[in-house]
Amino acid sequence: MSSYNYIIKYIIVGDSGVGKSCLLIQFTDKRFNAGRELTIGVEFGTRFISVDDKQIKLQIWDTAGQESFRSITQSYYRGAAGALLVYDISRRESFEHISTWLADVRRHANPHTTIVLVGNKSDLDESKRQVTSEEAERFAKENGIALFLETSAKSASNVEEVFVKTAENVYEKIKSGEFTSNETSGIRLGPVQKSSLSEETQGGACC
Amino acid sequence: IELYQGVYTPLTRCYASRCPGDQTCYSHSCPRKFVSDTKRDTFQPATVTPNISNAPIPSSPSLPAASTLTPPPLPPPLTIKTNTTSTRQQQHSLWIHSVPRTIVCTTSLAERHRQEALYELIQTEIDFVGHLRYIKKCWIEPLSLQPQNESIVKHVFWNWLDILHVSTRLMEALVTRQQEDHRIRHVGGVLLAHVGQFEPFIIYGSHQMVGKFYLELEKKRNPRFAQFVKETEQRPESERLELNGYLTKVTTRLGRYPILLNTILKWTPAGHPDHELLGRVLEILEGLLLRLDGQVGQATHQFELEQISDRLLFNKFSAQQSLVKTRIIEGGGFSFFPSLEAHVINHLLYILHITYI
Repeated sequence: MSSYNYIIKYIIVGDSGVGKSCLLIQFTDKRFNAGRELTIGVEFGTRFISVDDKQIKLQIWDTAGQESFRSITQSYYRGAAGALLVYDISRRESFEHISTWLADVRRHANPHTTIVLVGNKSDLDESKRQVTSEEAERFAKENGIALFLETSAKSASNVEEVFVKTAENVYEKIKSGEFTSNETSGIRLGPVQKSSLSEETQGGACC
Repeated sequence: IELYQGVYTPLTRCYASRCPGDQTCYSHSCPRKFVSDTKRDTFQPATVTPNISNAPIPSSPSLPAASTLTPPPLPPPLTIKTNTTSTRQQQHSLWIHSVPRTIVCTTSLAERHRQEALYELIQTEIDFVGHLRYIKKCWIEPLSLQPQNESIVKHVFWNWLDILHVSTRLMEALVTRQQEDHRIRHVGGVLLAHVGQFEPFIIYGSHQMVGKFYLELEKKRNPRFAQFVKETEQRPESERLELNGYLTKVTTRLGRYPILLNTILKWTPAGHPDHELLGRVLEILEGLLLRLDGQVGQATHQFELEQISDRLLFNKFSAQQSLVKTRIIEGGGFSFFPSLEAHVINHLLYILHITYI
């Protein structure tokens, strides 16, 4: 039975086919699906990580299948502490749409939500690349996006880092008091509290 | 096939660099996990059995299924409890593990892919119906015992039982099709007959946002309701997911059908009757999602206007007015003067002063 101090909710958005579900499956199950076994797996994944000795349960919502339906996806933004904006480095179009995804997140999510830009499919041959990491980095900087990483859900490169670094950023905000635990912040306290940050102690435990 | 991922004694170092060592970490195979699990009894090396679904598709037909090869050691092995909610659902979610090996061996690779995709559609539909039933049994029914909950049950769950009805019928039809043969021949007809009944998904989806609002409001206003929510969410049946996680499943599911069906379609040979039928099902689903999206947008807009109107002391909007709200400032608020909000509604700019009375 494991215990955790916080539940943090993430949302993954981006164009269809950029690898949102694959990133999630790679992170939660450590496997890559090239359409060989399961297509969708889960609507959301959970995994425990530890940041600064705190057990954090990440609850990650995948918006696959709803990319063209902006009003529907809006309901997921509310109450997300972390938002991963994913594009495919070999599809320029998916990068150009990031500004629309960013505008959606900024409009509907909590103002303190940690936004992360993710260029997926970094395992692909350099000749297929249509977005340089410099350009994406510049975009992130210009638009006030806290983090930018290139990942490969296929080779698992940087996948762990994306999720963990986002959690570290959120955790910093919890510590500094920017985020408080409630329904709309996307952070809830876990059932077991050892932290000096804890605001309440809850009985019972689950794993 | 990997039979064992490893035998970990409590002294084994965890592979995760972030593992604190003296207590367990996020890794599902962290040796410290077993220390805390076995402390109650005695220190025993924990044997880790592989998750069946992680096994690759066997290339050699002579190998028996992984599950039958797992020896029953004494004391019984501690099977890893994984931290992913997905794993539980995946345990029996591969077609190749559900049929005799002779069937697998006599099936072409493309057909195996098609069967796996069909199997996933059916398994996820069974899971979905299971979640719909859970809401009925653990939330709607107990809450409905108290007449004073009538309004909140209506708002939060809306036409949940209609969706349960429609989806149960689809699930049963798919399972019947599955039981006819080890290899499903076609599903196009079944799906076409049922997606036409999916109207309740739209009705639910367009109200979902309002339902969520009332749920949060009721939790704040009614401590007994809040207590019920807390207790129910901690029940084992809730599988560690809060109510809101279940409430979004209906629209999520609608969006997942096209992904599942496109995968089936990809592996369906051109002359197969499903080719045309699935194409038609996909068109209907696309239409449903588009309509839902439009209605969600409209409902959200209407609800936001009502929220503003409710707070106005005079000049309340009338329900008949067709109002168009243009947000001129994100969230309507001024950061330098937080008690002011500005909205353009139709041809008027409203600058509202917020007072608490």
